[in-house]
Amino acid sequence: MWTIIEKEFFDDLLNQRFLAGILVSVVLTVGAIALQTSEYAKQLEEYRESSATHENFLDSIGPENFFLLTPLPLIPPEPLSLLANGLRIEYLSNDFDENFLPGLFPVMDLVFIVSIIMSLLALLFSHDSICGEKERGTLRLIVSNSVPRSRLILCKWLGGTASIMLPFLISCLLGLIYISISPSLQLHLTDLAAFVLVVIASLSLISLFYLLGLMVSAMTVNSSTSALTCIFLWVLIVFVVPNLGPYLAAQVAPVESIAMLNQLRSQGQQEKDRQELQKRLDQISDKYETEYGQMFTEYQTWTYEEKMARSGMQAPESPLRSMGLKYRKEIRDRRDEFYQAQRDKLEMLAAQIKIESQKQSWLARNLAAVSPFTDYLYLATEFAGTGVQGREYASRQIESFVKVFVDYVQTLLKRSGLGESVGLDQLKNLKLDLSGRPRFEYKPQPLAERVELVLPYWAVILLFNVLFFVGAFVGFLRYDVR
Amino acid sequence: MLGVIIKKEIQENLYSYKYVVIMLLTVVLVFTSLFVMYHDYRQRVADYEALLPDKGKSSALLRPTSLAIFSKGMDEALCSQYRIAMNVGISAGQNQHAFNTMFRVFDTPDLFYVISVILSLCAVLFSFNLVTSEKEAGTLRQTLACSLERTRLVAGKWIGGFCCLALPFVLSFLLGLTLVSFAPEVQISREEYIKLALFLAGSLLYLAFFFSLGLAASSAYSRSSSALIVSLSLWVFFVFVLPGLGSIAAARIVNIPSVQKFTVLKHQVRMKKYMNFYDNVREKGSVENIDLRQLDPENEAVVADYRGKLGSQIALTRAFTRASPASAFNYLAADLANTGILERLNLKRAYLAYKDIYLSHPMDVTGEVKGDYPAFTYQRLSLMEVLRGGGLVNFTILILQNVALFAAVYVLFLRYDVR
Repeated sequence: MWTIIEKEFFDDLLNQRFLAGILVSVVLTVGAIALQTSEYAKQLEEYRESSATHENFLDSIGPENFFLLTPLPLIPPEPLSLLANGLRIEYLSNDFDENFLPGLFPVMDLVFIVSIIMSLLALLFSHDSICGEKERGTLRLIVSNSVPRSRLILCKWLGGTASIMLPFLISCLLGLIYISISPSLQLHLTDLAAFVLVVIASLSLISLFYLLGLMVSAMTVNSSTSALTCIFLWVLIVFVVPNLGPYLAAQVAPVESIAMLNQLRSQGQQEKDRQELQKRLDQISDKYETEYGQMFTEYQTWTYEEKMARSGMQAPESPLRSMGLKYRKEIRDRRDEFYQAQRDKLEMLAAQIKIESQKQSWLARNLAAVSPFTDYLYLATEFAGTGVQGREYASRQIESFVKVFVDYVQTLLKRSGLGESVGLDQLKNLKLDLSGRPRFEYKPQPLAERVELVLPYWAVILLFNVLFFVGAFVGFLRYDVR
Repeated sequence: MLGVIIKKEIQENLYSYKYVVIMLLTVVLVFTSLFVMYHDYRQRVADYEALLPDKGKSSALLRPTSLAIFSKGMDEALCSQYRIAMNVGISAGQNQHAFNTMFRVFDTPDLFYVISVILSLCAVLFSFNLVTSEKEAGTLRQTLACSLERTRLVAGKWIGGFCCLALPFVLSFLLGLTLVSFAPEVQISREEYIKLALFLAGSLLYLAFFFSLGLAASSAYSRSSSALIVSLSLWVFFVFVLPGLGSIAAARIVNIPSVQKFTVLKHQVRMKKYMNFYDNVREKGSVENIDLRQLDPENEAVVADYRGKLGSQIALTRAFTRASPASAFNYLAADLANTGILERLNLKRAYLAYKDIYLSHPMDVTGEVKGDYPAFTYQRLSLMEVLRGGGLVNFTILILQNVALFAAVYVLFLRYDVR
């Protein structure tokens, strides 16, 4: 058995085309890691600078402007984003000034190298593993030496994948050495473990494509047919099935409530709402006019300062004062009621949208996961912390922090003897000590959690490995070697 | 004689397994992409119609273009509803895809994608063994032994082979276009049909490049397997690596702040404006008679600086990446479909100019403009504007790349050892 494995291994390694292909992929792998490391260093420096700038600015605003404090939690770049860029933070914005350039071009990271280049290489070197040997006439010579076919196919797989995996592992090791000597990047134990997991996931994908080529080779008679069939299947797996997933999911499970939400928020609707509110406020004014007559009519003609002076909290007790206070309270209550109803409607719609979009996302994710390329993408990006689940984990941290921050400000206001909203006249002399304000500290998702989330996708890749091996095995058992 | 060679190439290809696979792939993918993108377009039109009451106001609301069925580009972002909001500047509305991040993980499976990635690969696979297979079969030296000029032979191979590749694509495209144009929501004007004709022409130029690439590899090597590996490596280089490297180079030369950094800077600008505003409110005791325009962060130096740098990076990226036919075709297709960078920058410019006009009108205490104001109107770029804005340059680049590569094929074949 070892003889055959050795033969397959060295056959590939000593082949000029193979050497050229492997050299290119090693150079690209190390180059991609080096490029992404420098990109990570730049992003980390920007993050540190932005965080420091933001905190210093908040400190400088001072206690008089506490109500202007808005939480702006920033997320640091993930260390392993140099292996799998995944969902970059830029991609998550939908801004008028969005920098759309990164989305227009493919990212040169390890995921790209493995999923496009290494997978193609694996296919190219396995597509003629059986049929090529048949064409050269060496297959019948090997089989005639009473080598069991099962052993032969197993050794072809082991020897062939070893010949591709070894240079890949060497290039990953070189990449790791480059990362470890890079001053801007320090990988902790968890990051190293995640790195190893990404490499193992990459190896399982390379093996899958090698087995695919082997299977097709064991089912075809000539290498050109085998090459074409392999590439056809590669195109389906890497480009067609994954990209169709989200669009098919959007057809099957559209998020219909977005149209209603947009309508509610539209200018036209807002104008209607303002008119509706004004109508209700006018009804209150009419009621007071009917009840108080001239006093109310005169009251309506005064400026804000006159109203405060003659009918505010500091004015003398009088029917005018009680009318003014009662009127302003009723206006305020009616306005609050109206806006609360709007907020409730929006919240309900937002909850509905969340349910619908989660359903669509789940469907999109799993439709695309039919392709092992997608499963590998999920694995690599989640291990690196840059996948969909990783970003959702970060968003949840941001949401929790915003709540904590808002509670902190509310607590400070209550301690100062104020209610939830502060009036303009109370703003003048108010100062709060904000040195104890909560500061956002991003915690990456624990690796164990990330692994648990993506285990099913890894199982799919392993299942495909088994299926293709079985296909190659059965195909070769029935293969006519003459 | 040329006609005979062309006929021979066509007949040989028509009966090959390779042709059947590629033809099936072409037809299935063209129709699938048009089907999927038509439904996506229909959904977006329904979302647009729900917002129609906002037409004639200050928000920017574009109807999805029918050409997005062929090349979606950035139509999703172009059709987001942009609004002038006093405290944030210009805000963008949310659309269907904003709630499903899976759309950001994968590429759009529109016809442009099918052509630029998959059909280009098919073109390479079609031609990588046009010369080497004949050499391996021994028929090449026999053909050339009949005093047939190499020029004529290579031209015949190119024309015959490319006709076989292009025919199923052109027929599927035309049939797909016919079916799509009968759909009720689809409105294609005469000018847009011309744009689609140019899109088809650009696609054929793009496919011709990769066909020539495969033929060049076939004319450089004696074995089909070597030619295959070299062709595929070059395909990966031109479609993925070169555009990626071009964009990285441009980003290194024109450094712009990341989204997070820009958000922090804009946030500071807004907060400073709020501080001034509340100082005024404290002084006057009410918000009446205070100009809310002072809250607008848009005209600050940091925003202008970012926009200037982004514009420079975009221009440099386009210049660098055009070296790859994939990028040249990308820009051409998206610009012709009015869904590309040109359209996006034009809309941005138009809306920023409108904002200044809008804000020059008197406002009430809530920041809404009082009385009548001109509504925002926008027309997508015309064909002449697209051609002047870079379309003609992209066409020329594709033509020159084809000419250069065919010249390389010619030279390589002239030097080819047919024994």
